[in-house]
Amino acid sequence: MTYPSAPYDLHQPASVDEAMALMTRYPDALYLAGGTDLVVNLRRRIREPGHVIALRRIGDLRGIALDGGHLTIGALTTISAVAAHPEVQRRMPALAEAAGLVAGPTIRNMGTQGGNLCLDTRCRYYNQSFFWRKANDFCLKKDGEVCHVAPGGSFCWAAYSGDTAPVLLLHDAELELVSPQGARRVTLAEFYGSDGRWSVGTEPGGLRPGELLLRVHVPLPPAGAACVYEKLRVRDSIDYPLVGLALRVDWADEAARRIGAIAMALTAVNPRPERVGGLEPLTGATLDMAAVAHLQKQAHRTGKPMRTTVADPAYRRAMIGTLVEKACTRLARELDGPLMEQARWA
Amino acid sequence: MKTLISLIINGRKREEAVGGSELLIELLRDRLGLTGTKMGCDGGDCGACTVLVDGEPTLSCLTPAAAVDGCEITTVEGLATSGGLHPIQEGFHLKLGSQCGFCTPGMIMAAKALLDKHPEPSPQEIRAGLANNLCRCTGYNSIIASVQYAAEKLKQATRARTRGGP
Ligand SMILES: Cc1cc2nc3c(=O)[nH]c(=O)nc-3n(C[C@H](O)[C@H](O)[C@H](O)COP(=O)(O)OP(=O)(O)OC[C@H]3O[C@@H](n4cnc5c(N)ncnc54)[C@H](O)[C@@H]3O)c2cc1C
Ligand code: SF4
Ligand code: FES
Ligand code: FES
Repeated sequence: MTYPSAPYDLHQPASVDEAMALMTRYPDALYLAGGTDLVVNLRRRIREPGHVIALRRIGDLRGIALDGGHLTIGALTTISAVAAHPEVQRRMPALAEAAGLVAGPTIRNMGTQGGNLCLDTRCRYYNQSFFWRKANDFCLKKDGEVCHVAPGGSFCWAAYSGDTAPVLLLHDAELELVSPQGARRVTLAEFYGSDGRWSVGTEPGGLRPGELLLRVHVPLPPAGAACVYEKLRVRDSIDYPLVGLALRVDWADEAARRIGAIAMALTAVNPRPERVGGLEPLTGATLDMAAVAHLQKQAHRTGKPMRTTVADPAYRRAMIGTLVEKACTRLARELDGPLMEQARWA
Repeated sequence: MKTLISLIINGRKREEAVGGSELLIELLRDRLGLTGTKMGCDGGDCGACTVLVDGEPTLSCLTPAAAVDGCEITTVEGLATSGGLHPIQEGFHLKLGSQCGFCTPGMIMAAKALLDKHPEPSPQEIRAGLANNLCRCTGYNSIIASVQYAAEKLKQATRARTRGGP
């Protein structure tokens, strides 16, 4: 048995200007890109707009361009196009890797880069049918009074679970936004809020009502920078991450594994994709098991897996450490250094 | 608010008035009687609703009907010809790639999209190509064998055609 969404009118503008005019006329409207998140949520009556503005006819928002030292990705570029793009694979392989690990092939064909960054946060008590949620007295994030994950509080822990955000965070991506009020540019880091209810849209840099993401701008990493993405999920064929981790090293001396700068970001374990702090002591250090231990400690301080998925939070927490080790070993494997011999699971 | 759309479904041109929140799967199944396409999960998880939109595999449960205005849609009903089953269907039949059959139309359409792009896929490529499609019965191995059978058969047909000349 299926449950229809609340009825809405669908608009299909052919240009950004037309989209802005529609948004001015229907301020409660939501944008629809590939629909692989939004249509599911409409069917579950998690989102109930009277109007939906489908973006797929706006051709100029599709495609990837390389100009100067920047990669520009149109918000409507499909995830599979990002994963398969030769320049992305060559200049920013971790982004191609993360995109290639989103969902399964059909969904990657439909889902877009913009939708991936604007993804609604996820929780086992929220991503359910209306019938299911009603039987469970709903929850704080939608229609209800309490949070079933942390019942005493007034905070929502639903996790942002997009795969490409952590890699883009480590590459200092910026977002080009436009609304009927005007255009602006924000960093990806200031885009997300800390409360799972509105992870996108609470911060000054967050998506405002009616605002449209046009393009993602990413400065290309210099030679000597390496980045990998590691993902834990239930079924490798299709599932959202239980934990996702991006690690970037800008080598001071690659052969000696001496770190010039190191950065790490997590997804699926907090209401927003989160950069891990406290890594400064590793500048100038060697990427060895002591460095791995420091990265693990800091990652555990940042990642706060809660009971938002079917998998046990303790398991996800333990796996944060494992993914750190795996990412470090992959970065070191290319160098074939002694870290390889030390890594117990290699 | 209804929108008039024109599209080609399985080679036949149609005009339909569709509602804003009407999904492609609802148009296909409930109004056009093309019930080969299945609604499994109503949420992107299972792939039973996979159809081809301009040749690309697409989940019809997540696609607004109005969004396919001007597109060419192929459903499982569009594969067999008066000459008999399509080689992919034949593969699923002979290699027992179908048990309860619920996932089969989606599997076949995903396999069609895969073989159109990669006529000679390795077993690993078949797994990756069908990763969006869930089967609760077969254990997948017979599905991979079915697609391999189809790839071989299609290859022979292409060879025969090129040998035969125009
Ligand atoms: C079974 C399944 C598995 C999945 N697994 C993964 C996974 O492993 N990893 C992962 O990252 N994702 C996963 N997804 C989610 C989703 O498919 C991808 O994140 C996809 O990239 C979302 O893009 P979309 O274009 O389909 O978004 P849509 O559904 O169209 O939009 C998502 C949200 O973003 C807003 N939005 C979209 N585009 C814009 C824009 N340009 N400007 C402003 N707002 C916008 C919409 O209003 C909506 O709120 C999965 C989905 C399903 C159904
Ligand atoms: S974390 Fe709590 S409030 Fe947020 S979606 Fe889950 S149950 Fe609801
Ligand atoms: S019914 Fe469309 S993916 Fe399951
Ligand atoms: S044959 Fe039954 S689900 Fe695949």
